[in-house]
Amino acid sequence: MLYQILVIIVAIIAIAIAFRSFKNTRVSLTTFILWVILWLVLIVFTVLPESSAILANIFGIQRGLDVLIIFALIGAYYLIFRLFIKLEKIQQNLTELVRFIAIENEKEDSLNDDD
Amino acid sequence: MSSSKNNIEIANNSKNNNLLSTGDKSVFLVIPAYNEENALGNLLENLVRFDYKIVVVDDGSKDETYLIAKSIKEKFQNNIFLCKHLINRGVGAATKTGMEDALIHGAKYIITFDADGQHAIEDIEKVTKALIENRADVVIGSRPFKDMPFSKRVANMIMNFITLLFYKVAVKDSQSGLRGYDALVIPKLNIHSDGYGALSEFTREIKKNNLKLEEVEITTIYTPETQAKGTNAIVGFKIFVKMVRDIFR
Repeated sequence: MLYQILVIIVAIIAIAIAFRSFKNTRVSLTTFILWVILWLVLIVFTVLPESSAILANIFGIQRGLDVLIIFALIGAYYLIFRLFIKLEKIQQNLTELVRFIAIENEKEDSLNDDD
Repeated sequence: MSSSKNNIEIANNSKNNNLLSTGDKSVFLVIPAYNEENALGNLLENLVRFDYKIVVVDDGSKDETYLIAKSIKEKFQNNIFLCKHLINRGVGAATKTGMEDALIHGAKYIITFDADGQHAIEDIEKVTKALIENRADVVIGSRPFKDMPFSKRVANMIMNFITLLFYKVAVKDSQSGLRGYDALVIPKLNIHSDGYGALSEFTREIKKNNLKLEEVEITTIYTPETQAKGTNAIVGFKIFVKMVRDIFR
């Protein structure tokens, strides 16, 4: 089926890009592994659509696709949350840095004044 | 001990000549300033006359704030310390920077003061007095709500309510910029917020550390400049969101 071929091609490209970024040390090993797992899972569900139905049964949800969408949403929300926390941390670090520079420069200034 | 006795004497002296400063060299004013070129120059010229030590923190202003502060600092090098945030980080962050710098220069009492000229200089002494006489660790100069324009009054009432709800502290004015701190308590205060939310966080830390709090009434000078900034509805909403998020930390 066309969509299966498409998904597999996209997944391979995505993994290839991730691998290149990893080799160029732009992404960490953890991110790379997570990314690869995500796309492999997607390939499995595409090639073997019944597998999502099994998962749906386990969770008591009727359709296989629903399970995928629910998990995808939860996963996406989790990622957003993580990003949020990270961003906040970066903001705080930036403030610390700006503060450090400000105070160091001021200290230097007042030392020069005393001379 | 002798120094605190000294302070009391000084405080008593200053009772006699109300408008003169306490003369205590360890009282530091911290003034966070963001785009305050209109008001800051005048304010600083007036403040140095009272012989206060002043830490000005230019919070990455886009206007001439830094240059104005610098030119005045050149005239009064021993009284003014000037910090520059290379990037704008918010009033809370700037205040904290100023406090740290004041501590480095040996501050015993730190008074925060808004750069826009909304506070009356005479009120500094009111705030300082409660600290020097050891009545309080932290003093909030509260602006009487009856003096405020309607929109500000509503926003500040909401902020007071939120501060009460989240931090269980009832204060008359949770967003006032004129506050005094005993320098010893500053390192205990744990402030995350960079913006106006920091003001409420300071209030929370007062409660958490069981600090002695005193509220003194101060006058507020409302001009078009002082109206433009501060706690309006949008800032209030942002602080609210931040407080909700902090719960999940």
